[in-house]
Amino acid sequence: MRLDVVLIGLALSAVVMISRMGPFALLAGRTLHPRVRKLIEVMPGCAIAGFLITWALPSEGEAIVEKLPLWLGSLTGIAICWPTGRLLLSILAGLSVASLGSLVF
Amino acid sequence: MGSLSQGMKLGLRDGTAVGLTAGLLGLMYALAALESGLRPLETVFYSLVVYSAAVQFAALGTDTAPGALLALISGSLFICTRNVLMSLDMARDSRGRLVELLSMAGLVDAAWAMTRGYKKEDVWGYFWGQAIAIYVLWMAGTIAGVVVPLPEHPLITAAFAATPVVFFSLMIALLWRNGVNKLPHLGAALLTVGAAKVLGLPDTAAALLGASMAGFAFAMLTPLEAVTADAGDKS
Repeated sequence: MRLDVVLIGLALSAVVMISRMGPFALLAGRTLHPRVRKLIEVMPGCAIAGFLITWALPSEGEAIVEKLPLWLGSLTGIAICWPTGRLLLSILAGLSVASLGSLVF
Repeated sequence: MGSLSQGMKLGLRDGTAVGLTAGLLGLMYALAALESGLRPLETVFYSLVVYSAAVQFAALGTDTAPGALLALISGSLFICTRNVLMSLDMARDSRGRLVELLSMAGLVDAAWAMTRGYKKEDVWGYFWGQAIAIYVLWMAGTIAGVVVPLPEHPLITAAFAATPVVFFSLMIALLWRNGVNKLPHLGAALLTVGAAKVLGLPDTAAALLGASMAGFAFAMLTPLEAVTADAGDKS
């Protein structure tokens, strides 16, 4: 393995692990104001929704129709996962729709 | 200890289903990494120590010049804000044990979303089970990607390209299934679109701004009640 790859990997690992363990270590066992508690509870889902939508939007020079298979695949997955909770079936169905849709659009 | 084992068993069982989808992400990463010039062992090393698909994809093809490395690290910090938020959320259920802190090494979106919906006692055993199953299958996916030759086909390429978006859609679906209020998520999505397309912010900044505004407005302006029915009762 190349040394620079190892060093970059370790540096990124440090960033990721600090982001996972640091906040927990700071907050664990502390009493929080109910509003702050509510904010902390709701924010991760908001961040996932925000990141998700940026990936599903067309980038510069890309037509919205090119992203349509992604949207159809995602909606298919959600339509199965939400009522049934069957994650594997949902992702397989979602990916099938998205990949078949890419042949059409 | 019996209770911990029971929670862990359930976590391992549920985590296997989630982990199979994480394995797909690992496979996709391996293929992209090899194409970008990483060697097979380096690809496996990245998945082993970094264990963050978003950060690993961002690192592909990075130059080793100091400026490029600095940009990579700062970009990764932005990407990792999701980890910060999930870590803070998990801390609400903490009893201050070292085993809980150590489990955060395996904190990924899927394990967090599944654990949020876990209604029984022994949340930490369940989380450990999730984290172990997802990590093992993620690594299996990465290793499969570097050793098993996959046929080139437009359907396979399209399925790989769609994996992150479909996967994260399911994380949201899991949260909704667990009874979490959908309003802030929909607000975050709309505000992110506005920030990216109207204000012209970069995607990551737009996502963070949209999420922060929606989350803050929801937490401050709506009545004080638990976001999920079981919030605060699991520890």
